[in-house]
Amino acid sequence: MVTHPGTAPGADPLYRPLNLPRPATVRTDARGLPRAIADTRGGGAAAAVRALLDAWELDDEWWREDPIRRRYFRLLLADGRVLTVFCDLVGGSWFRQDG
Amino acid sequence: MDAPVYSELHCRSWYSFGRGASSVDELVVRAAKLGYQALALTDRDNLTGALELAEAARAAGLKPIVGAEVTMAHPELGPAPITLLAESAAGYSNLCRLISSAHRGGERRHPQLDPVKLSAHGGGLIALLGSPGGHLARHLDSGELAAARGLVAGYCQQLGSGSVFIELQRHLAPGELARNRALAELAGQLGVGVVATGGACYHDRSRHRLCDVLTAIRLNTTLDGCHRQRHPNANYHLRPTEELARLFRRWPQALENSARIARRCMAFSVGQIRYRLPQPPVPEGFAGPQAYFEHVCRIAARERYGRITPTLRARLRKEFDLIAKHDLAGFFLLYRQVIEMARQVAVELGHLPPGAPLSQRAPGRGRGSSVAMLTGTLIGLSHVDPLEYDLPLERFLPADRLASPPDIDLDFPRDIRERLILKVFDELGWERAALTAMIPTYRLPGVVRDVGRALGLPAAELAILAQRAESHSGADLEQEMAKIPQLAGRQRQRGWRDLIELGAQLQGFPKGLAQHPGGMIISSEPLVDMVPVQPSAIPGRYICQWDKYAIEDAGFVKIDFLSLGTLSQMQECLQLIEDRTGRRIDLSRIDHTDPAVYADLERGDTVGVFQVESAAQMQTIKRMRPRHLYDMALQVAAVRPGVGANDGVTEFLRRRHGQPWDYDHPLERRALAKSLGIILFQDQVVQLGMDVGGLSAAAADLMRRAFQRRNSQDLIGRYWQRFREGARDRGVPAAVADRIFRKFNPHYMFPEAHALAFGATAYHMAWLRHYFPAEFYCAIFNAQPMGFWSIETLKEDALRHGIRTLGPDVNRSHLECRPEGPDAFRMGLGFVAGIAAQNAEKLLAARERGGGFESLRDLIARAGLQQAALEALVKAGACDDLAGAGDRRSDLWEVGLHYRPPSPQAPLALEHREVMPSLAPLSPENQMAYEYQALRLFTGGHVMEALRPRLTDKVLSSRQLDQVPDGARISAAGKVLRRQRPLGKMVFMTLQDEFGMIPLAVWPSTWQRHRNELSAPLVLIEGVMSRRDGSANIMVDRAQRISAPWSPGLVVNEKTHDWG
Repeated sequence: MVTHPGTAPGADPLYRPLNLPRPATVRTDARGLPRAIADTRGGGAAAAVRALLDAWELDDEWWREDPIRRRYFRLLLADGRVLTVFCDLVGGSWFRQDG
Repeated sequence: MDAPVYSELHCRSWYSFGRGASSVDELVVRAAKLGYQALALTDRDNLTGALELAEAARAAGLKPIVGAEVTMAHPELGPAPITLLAESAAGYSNLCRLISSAHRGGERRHPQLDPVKLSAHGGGLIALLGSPGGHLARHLDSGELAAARGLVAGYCQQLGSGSVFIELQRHLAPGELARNRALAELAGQLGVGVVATGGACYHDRSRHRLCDVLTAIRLNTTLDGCHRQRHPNANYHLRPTEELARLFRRWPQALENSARIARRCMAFSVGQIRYRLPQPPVPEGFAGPQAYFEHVCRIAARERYGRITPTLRARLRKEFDLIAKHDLAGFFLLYRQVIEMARQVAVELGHLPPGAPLSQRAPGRGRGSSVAMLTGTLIGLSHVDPLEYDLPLERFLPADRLASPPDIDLDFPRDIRERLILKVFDELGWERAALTAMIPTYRLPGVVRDVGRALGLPAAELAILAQRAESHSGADLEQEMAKIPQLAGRQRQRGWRDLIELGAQLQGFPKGLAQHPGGMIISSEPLVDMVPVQPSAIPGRYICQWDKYAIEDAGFVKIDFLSLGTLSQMQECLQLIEDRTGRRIDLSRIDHTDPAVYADLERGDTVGVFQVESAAQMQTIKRMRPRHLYDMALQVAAVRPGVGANDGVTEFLRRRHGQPWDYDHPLERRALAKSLGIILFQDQVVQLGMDVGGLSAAAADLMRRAFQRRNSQDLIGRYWQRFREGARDRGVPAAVADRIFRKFNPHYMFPEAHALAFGATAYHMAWLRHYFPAEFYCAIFNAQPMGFWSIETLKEDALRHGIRTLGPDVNRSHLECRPEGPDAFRMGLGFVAGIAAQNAEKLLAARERGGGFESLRDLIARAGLQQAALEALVKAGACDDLAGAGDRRSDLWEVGLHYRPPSPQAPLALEHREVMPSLAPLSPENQMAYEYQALRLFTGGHVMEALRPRLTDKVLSSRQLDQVPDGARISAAGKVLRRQRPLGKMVFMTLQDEFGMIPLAVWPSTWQRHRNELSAPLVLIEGVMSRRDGSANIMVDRAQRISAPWSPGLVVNEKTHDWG
């Protein structure tokens, strides 16, 4: 029997840590691409997306109770901030993950 | 956006062994469906799928491209692959050489190529650099731009910048966009083209789970344990061209280059590789191989027959003409060269006197249809005189066209074969000779073990499933789980559910390249220009990367060197006879119509006789009643799945005993006259194809092969069309043609010549057994494992023929068994379980040096054995005759005293007899249990002898069976020798008691009811005697296990021959 390595898959240094995703409100266009993000500090107006810097997908841990299927975007917002968000393809909700 | 013309240039199949999750067929069909123009198969460090790709792509209307991922060595980064594609025949040869070189350069299973080799062998190749995980990508990922530039420049220098491309892949993997930007920028700076590739690992997204599991299996870990090596998502499949157009819209030239490179590579196909039949050197004075070959055969014919008669001359002329027509003289000369090597090996091993002519003292025996060649007999290929049996040549050498080079198989004694393979490598070199690969595939137990472990399922439960499942297919896991109480009900549970789904997908997947038991390909020109060659698991041997099907498709000549235990037995038997009697027997000159030998055979008294010792053969031979060698050929051919499939054996035997019959059509006469209208031989299928279906000899042979190939329904359908039309032209009604065609089936049958070869060997063994039983049984013990009867059964059978099996003795035994006089043989020390060969040799050396052992103490002092080995010798009875020996129980006690812990100075120099307790004497039953444990047999008798007093007179013994009439109720008991279920229905078993064997037949319903009882080592059964056509079986309806009161577990040690 191979022993469990004892580390969470997300701890691998090659990948972005998957910890601390926080719910986000994202407005998307017809193709499902993010166009604006609600101000995460609350209260303010939504920040428009100026550019999509990168996009990637994860489809992993399908053998576990909670499989991971996510579409990630790295966004340049109109105010100059760079933000990473993902759409959870299992539940359909959006999260931001800045780690 | 218009769909681009796309060709996939980077794609792995299941032949990447752990890196690809789809078959070649699945990839090709999907690529064609997606409208790809071409598909390159780029498996990791091999070209195993190249011919399969060519064939599948042709059927799908897709262009195949030959390529591979080749692992490159790197001093700092370690090994990583680049993709190489062949754009010409020269490029293909270079690719074969580079892959071969990588396998020789790295460790086994971890090939790596020294990049320097590309300078000499880079022509005709296109390299794609930059895929994730490769050296270039890693340099860029770590920002080492100068190193990246240097790497690309190096490849450009070796291959030319027009043949180096930087590949961009789009899987939506993290970090990919940045890497692609860097790659494209680098390409621009260096003036190198970029190309879009899929880096595909499976045909369809749904296989990504299997791909993940394969990664875990390859790394020998769980899915959780290989996060870093698994793909981040499921995008590594063949994708629609529209999607690719969108993904690569930033780099349109990458897609254009994909089409451009594909066009360059499409000019080459693997079909252009032409294997040339070997052309060995010819001595001076001969015009060419043909003249020399004819010369060699004429000399051998004069040696063998004394003079060349007109019949002989005519046959030789016919064969010479056919050989000349097919340009096979060099091919046969090569065989002669190999047989000559085998002869040298046989002489070195002391099996043959130097100078024995090949045509009379051949070191091996041919099998297969090649035995039909007289010229084959003359160059030592076979031991059967085809003139005597008028063997047809057509199956071996059709007159019109050869579908592929003839297939010749040679059987050798085991020791000759081992040395011969090494000698061929030595003399021809690994570049010109290689063993055929064999591709073992996943079946249920492996599927359960590997997928289950990857999923982290409990090992104990996986073991239960793997062991108890009756099906061999991983596709049946759900049903199999339902049948096992511990697992039933878990099929929908997480983990187990995945195992069921993925197990079905993994079923049939190739596991890797292994060595074929004996198939070798030999070439006059370097093989490594035609197929990559890699070291096998056994040092000194090399295998090519194609299996026998691919080799046949490529038209290579394959020689099968097989080891046949029977020939080892025969060889030793002849030597033992010569040692005892001084007589050297030439089996080719014995009486082949000896009634005494046929009387044994006709009684079914055939235990230990090659080819006719199975229960089915025993039953059949009683009805066959052979009288000469051709009858022996009919006998060995009749009990084959291909004959049994149509109930041919029963029908043949009925006809042989006078039942009236007729041909389905008079055109069958030429093919089937010899075998009373029944198809017994492969050649008859070919002959029927010609005579009834009007096919040419070559086409008829291809039709026969079509039945034996996997997934050949379409092909068979096409042959049926041709056969039906040909038959119609010959006036055969459609219904009759249909009836005849239906006799052909995919199951195995012997060629006629092969049946004769094996029939003759069977007769030779029966002859030796009849006249020299001590040597026969002694040699068959030494030739174990022979895969059929256990030594216990052989010992009992020997006794029935007046030969006693004497137990091992530390002062009389050798390592192997040796005859003691004409009616006994002594078991060797090597037969004692628990004493390794080197320990036995140590003991023998001590005996050689200091003389026989005087006492147990002397043995302990001089033989230098460990306690366990000494105990095994005592239990086996090998110390019984030592001076002062008590019974085995007290001897064991004495051994124990010598090794009493914890003294580091054992053995102690004390007189142990003085401290021996008084032990109860060993009962005969305990002695028997000891011997079963130490020897796997009881030299003093049979377990049933000891049990007989416990059974009533109603339980009959095997020697009383003859008097039991058909239909009578009967009880019998015995030790189970074998259980078989030939057609998956009725179970056939053989019991053995102290007098002989008891054949049983068990209906499936009875089997289900009494499965546990009938699975015990000793059983008591009740049933009804059934006699039919001279054979007898007890139809079992009740069964119970017999438990021996003394250590029953020990008797269980012996393995029965189940489900063979």
